Amino acid sequence: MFHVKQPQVIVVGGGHAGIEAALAAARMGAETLLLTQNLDQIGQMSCNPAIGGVGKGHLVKEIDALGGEMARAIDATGIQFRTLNTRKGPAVRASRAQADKLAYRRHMKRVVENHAGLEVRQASIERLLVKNGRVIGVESSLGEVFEATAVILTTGTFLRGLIHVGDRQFPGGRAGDAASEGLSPHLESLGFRVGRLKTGTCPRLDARTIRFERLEEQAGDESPTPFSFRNSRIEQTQIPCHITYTTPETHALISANLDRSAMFGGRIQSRGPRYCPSIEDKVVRFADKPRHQVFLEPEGRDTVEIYPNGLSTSLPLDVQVAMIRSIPGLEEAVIMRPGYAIEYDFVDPLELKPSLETKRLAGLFLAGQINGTTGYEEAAAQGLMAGINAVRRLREEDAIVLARDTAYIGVLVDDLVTQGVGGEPYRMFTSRAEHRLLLREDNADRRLRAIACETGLLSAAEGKAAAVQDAEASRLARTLEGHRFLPDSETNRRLETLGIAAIRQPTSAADLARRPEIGWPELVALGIERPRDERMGASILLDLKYEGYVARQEELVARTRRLEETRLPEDTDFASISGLSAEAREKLAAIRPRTLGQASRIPGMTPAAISLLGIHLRRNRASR
Amino acid sequence: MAYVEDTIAAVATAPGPGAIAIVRLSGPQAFALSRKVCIKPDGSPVDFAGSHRARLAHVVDPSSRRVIDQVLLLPMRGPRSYTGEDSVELHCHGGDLIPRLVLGSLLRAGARPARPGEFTERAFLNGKIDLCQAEAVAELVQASSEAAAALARSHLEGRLSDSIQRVRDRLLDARCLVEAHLDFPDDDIPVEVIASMDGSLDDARSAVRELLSTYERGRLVRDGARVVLLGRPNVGKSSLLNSLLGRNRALVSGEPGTTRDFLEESLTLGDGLRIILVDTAGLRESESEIERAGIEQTRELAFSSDAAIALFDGSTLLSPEDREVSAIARSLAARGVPILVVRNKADLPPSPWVFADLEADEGATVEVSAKTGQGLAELCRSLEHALAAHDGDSSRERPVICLERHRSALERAAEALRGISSDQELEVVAQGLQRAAFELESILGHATTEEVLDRIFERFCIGK
Repeated sequence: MFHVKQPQVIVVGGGHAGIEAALAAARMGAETLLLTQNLDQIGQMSCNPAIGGVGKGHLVKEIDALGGEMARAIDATGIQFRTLNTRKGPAVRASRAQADKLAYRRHMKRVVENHAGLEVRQASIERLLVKNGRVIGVESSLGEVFEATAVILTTGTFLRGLIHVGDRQFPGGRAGDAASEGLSPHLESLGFRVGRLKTGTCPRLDARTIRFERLEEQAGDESPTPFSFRNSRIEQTQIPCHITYTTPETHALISANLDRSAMFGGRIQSRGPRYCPSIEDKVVRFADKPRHQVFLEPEGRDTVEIYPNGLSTSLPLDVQVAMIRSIPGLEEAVIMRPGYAIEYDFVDPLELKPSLETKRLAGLFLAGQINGTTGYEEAAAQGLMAGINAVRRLREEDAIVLARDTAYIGVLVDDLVTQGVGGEPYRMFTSRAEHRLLLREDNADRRLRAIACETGLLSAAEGKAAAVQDAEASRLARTLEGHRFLPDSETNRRLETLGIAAIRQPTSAADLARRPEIGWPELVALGIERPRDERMGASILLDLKYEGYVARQEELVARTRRLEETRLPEDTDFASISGLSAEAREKLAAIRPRTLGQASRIPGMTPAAISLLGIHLRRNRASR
Repeated sequence: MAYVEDTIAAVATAPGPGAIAIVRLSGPQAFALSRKVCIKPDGSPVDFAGSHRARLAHVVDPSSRRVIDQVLLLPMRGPRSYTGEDSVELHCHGGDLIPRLVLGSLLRAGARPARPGEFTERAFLNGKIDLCQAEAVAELVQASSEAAAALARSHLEGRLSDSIQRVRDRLLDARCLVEAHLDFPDDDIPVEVIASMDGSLDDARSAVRELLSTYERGRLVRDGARVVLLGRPNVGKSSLLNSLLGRNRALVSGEPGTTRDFLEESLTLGDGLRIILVDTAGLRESESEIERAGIEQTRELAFSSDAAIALFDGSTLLSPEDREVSAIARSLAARGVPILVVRNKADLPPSPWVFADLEADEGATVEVSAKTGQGLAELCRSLEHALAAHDGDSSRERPVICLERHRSALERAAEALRGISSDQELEVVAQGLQRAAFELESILGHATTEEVLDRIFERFCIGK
């Protein structure tokens, strides 16, 4: 059989998780093999044509800081860039961009195909090869065998995927692609807990049949900001989106045909994400709402397909057509692809260690929707971490586990492996991060760069550029702390002309910068040297402005951290702890939390149960 | 290894005569143990089909099988019981002997005698009551007066938990609005809802303030009010104390300066409030070092008390020492300590002394005779009144806090709420709300992010 070299890491799946996993492993120097069912679909966006959003944009920045590809891909192929929450505070400011789907895919395919040490092959994987409790390779539907030390599964919605349109059902991993039927029963036979989730997507419309001139236009930012810290500007021209709204007629149509919807007709039992509800769901749950927003998002520059964001549905096609035509601007719109709901298998993420390796089978890592998450960004983040940790495992190095106060990726992974997904696909929100004020988009590089350099995720040139930026960051911070203004009449006159309150005692530039009304223009006017790197200058200023609030936040977190630092011995016999409900005992025994903090985040654990665990620990310590 | 999961038993009703007593059993073996000692009146084994349904049974001695008593058997299957575990109540005949014999049977059958408060401990550990309620059980057991017991009981019923929960819910609502705006900027969440947050915040602020304002009252109810008796030597402080107590506790003697140490006696007023009356060393100019020290202590004690009685002899002229007492009383009043001016020896012909300055400052004057008991009832009423006026409102309807732990958590919540303003960034507002809610939750004991997300999805149509 043709082999350049036996791979050390095999990645199954060429979606957003698979790409980052394979690239991370290859960048760290491991011989890597990426296997996917269809080489034309590498980096396909199965649902909406966009990257980023609140929480998600944060993830993309972190992926970029760790040397990942997602930010660079969207920077190169985006067709509209917007910063969200600009009128709110900097911690929740987030990047979002519309993607040109085809261009995004081409970009990703080119990058993975041309990366040294990364081989890409088309194969549908049906089984894992297991020996002595560890995975040693995979076997394809054609009987091809691929051996490796570590295997990362990133199968998306493909495991026993079942597509629903009205009362019609057919197997598929995504409309137009075959489902993977063999792998999840095989995982079940290996003892993995496999569950089922649901998600859905909108019909796609023909732009030539939409009356955009009647609709509200939503343009991108005038000077778009790139996602990647390694890019300084976005070159391409931007395309606008449009906004329209459903009507009472739309709602009446949907209500009258609810029994024909796959979701509502009882044909789908599994739960979908509440934050991506179908239009049926919205009409039923918010019956008093007169209209719902619909964003008309172009799927690319070279296509007429439009993604009507907000109209995810599993209604039969005839109702989809009628529903679309009841919406202003879409009266004559033609559906090019029907919307649908899809059910698929996932593996309970409580099966995972914080490294994303399974507890059950050494060497097997899972990332992306197979872990019950939703979203390209969440998938990519997990893929990256799985790729990193697969390589570290085969080198017998400690896993990289990002802390909750270091990165949203840390929050994501910790939530997954300690809480599971609680019945609906998991999506990132900033409210999930208790250290939110620390985890800004603008400081993601400073938060994670040391880890990126240590693990070898950045190229030599990138590492050098990063070091220059870091040096500039510390230089700026030092300058601001070191520059002192004396409360003399000369200083105060200059402050007055700038509209800044006078000072009464010697004040550092940093102290001045903590005032809300002061920015770099004021500081420069007061004689502070303009930062060489504007972006870094802004980021350092935000550090100062947020300092007080961050201190309070950290104080609050510290008060809850006692739990975090109380370790539960690995041999804790949860079954023997009296007073715990059978349910709590079962959950503890299954998840085996490593600290009281992890235990406290397990859904259904009462504070009393946590106190009880604490009491149990103390008694045990005393008796030892 | 830790503690064994066992089944505990205790007599739940107060000891002493009574028609009915209740013996309680809780734990995994509760039903099995009851089966060992209970039979149906016809001698067949009892069954426990159906929870919460009383049935008649005989309790027998597990070894001799001799019938001890006829009881009403009430099985409660967990988690629908006080402790959250399988529990059984045996309603037997009262008195000293029968309940003890019934308990003895259960213990011989394998139950363990419950430690004090252990049923409650289990209820807390099983999540049946919150921390605040569990504390109330301890308070109830230790209550030293009727009023303190009533307060603890209202906490146990969840009155305080409910009101804290309500404030916390408002904060969670407000936070849900803020988080929705932060996490879903493209979803058309109406802007009005953010404006409605101000109302929620104001409500929360005033609710927390109101709870905090009850602390003084609550502390008085829980710990009792310290009332210091001021007066020159031989003015009749000890006699007054004795007649208030209705017994001879203090040393009474005509020689001035015989009461050197403080005497503390507690008595209960008509409204159930406990008073700790502190008799002080007589105030008097003295060369004795010891007495000097006593007088200094009197001043300090007086300043830390909840009220003071300034006692004068109504049958004689005011002495310079009396003037000194009145000076102390005035400085106490200036610090907000309620003062009662009491003219003792009302049984003797009144002296024509003029006391206008003191009366004008301190208000109420009561005439009593420690000797005959005249005016004592009025003195008690005035005292009640003075103490109730302490916090301006003695309404029994609203929840009252009495523990320092609750007070400091509420203070911190109030501080966090004060820090929130409408010109702040929303994520900073969210943080303030989170801090305030955290403090309230620390009183009850719980917190999760999922709860916030659940509320967001219940209220808003999210997802474009």
